[in-house]
Amino acid sequence: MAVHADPSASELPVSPLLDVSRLVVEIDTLQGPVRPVDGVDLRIEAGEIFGVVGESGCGKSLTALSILGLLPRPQGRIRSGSIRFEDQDLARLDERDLRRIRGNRIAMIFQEPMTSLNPVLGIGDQVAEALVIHRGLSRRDALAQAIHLLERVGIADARHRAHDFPHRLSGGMRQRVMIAMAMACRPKLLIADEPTTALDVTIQAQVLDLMDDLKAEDGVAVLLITHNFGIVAERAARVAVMYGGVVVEEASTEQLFEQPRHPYTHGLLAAVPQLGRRRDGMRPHPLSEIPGMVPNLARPAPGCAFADRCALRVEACLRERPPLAAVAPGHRVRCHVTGVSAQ
Amino acid sequence: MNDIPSFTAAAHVVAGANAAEGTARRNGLAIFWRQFRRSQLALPGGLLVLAFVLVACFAPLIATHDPLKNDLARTLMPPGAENWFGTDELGRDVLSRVVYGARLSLSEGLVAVLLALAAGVPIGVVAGYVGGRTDMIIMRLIDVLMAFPGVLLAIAIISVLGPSLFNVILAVALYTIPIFARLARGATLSVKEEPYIEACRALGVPHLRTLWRHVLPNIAAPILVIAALRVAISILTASSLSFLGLGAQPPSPEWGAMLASGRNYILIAPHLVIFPGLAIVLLVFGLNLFQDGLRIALDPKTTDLR
Repeated sequence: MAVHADPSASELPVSPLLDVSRLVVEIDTLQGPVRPVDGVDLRIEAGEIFGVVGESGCGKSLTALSILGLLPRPQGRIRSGSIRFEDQDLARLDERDLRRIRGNRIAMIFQEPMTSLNPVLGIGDQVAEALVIHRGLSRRDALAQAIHLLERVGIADARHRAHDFPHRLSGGMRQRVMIAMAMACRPKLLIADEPTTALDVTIQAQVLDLMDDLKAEDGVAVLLITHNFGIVAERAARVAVMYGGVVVEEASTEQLFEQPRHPYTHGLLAAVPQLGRRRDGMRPHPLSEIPGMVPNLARPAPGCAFADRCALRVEACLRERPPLAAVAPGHRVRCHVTGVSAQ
Repeated sequence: MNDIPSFTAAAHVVAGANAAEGTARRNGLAIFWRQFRRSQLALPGGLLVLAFVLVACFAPLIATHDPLKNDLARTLMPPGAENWFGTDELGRDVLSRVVYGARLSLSEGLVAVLLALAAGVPIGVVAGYVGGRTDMIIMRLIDVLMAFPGVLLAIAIISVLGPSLFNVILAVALYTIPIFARLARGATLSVKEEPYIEACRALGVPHLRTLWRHVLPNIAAPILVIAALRVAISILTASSLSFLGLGAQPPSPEWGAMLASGRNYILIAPHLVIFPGLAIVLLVFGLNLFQDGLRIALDPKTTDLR
């Protein structure tokens, strides 16, 4: 596990690049409005890779979409909370102002590289798109820059490949093209929603290496959304674990893996399969699972969302939602039992 | 990944880009051609249509006589050396009239379909893309337009505007609009859900640009195929309306109008209806064959050679 220095530690105390605070997202369903994101707090510093981990339906993708105002419409909306980015509250911006930020200051790459590229447009033109829109370049100039970008993300013979249609490219190549598109305007923040889930393991590593390189060169911060703890352990400096629409634990990667506090984080780490024998020669622990099911969003419980499945449950867990409390510098936990007792 | 290639001189890159563009485009055409040939009758159909287009373009060179010049000394002459397709009741050369008529018929079909495309596709794309109430209102209006039987609608329009070739084209275009609007809407609805349209939003692409560069090219194939078919149908309809006296007026050498005046002499001079009738049949037949090849070539499900 790599040791990452906190980039802001040695500098003046500046406000974070992105500060999501008490974000509540509401989605209308046939059963009435539900809140898949119910009070999320995230702070991302400039130039860091920040991991968000959680199982399907925990609200991590919707949190990412709401940052760029991409919630499904008309049924989805930001109910309350703020998303501060470079002195602006993205939650309050209108569509026109958001469009100036999308692909320009904040870019996003998606899970599905096979279908996230327009099948009837050359990849060079697609990378050039952001430059034409946000930088006002002519198609020709934008295309020339797009070729540089394709070279940068490791597309061999980019000058010729720029005219290829996406169906000629493998999944890993397409994800590289997606990254080139996202990086075209040198954004400050890159939101990567399960960027490697659809790729095989060697290609995953290459794509993540590429994102590491871009972080180092351009100083772009990456919000890395994944359900893969291995990726987070290797790449992220800080991690937030989400469950039931809230952040249940937030810490540096090191803290999280060495001293997980929240029972859900414990459960998740125990559920990561391990190959082979342990260093001390013992057989690996049998793979454990977290009993129970994810909470029903249509009927939210008044207390902790994880209370149903939690082995450490006390009476307060069913009655009152615990606060996100600091247990150590940079380590916050939302738990009545483990979050308070430590201090 | 550590060996990131250094940036090359921009001019060099641009020059290379233009060269590569040529090969990519030629490649796409080659694939289209190979697919097009899979329908065995598409090529004969296309050649037939091409022949009519050439005849229309070079009508003054091909026609042996002035199509409007009467020669009362030579009326209702059967086909012969002087007049290959014979002459009509006013002594006009039928070959020359059929040749010039190709211009009228082709422009009837093409202009009507282009007008219908220009109106119907934007209507359908906007309805499908915006959705909700806008979609509902637009499509109900389109439904109203569709509720009229085609020729009846055309007759109603012409009775208001008066009979002329241009009004026939307008009428045919108007009742073709719903076909393109519904087609474009349906295709837009499915393309709209594709991740690359979502990616456009995430990239900050304005809506109009998304529609023009990302939605429209992806729905173009089915629309082009139906457009080719509608050219054939529009030619038939416009000729029918001219036959009924609602379209091109005498002495215009429109094929439908020629059929109408020729049918009075069908027993003594059958060539007056045979040649314009044959011209309509061959042109429409050719367009239908061509359309079939286009359908196969542009259908992504049949492009397994890619």
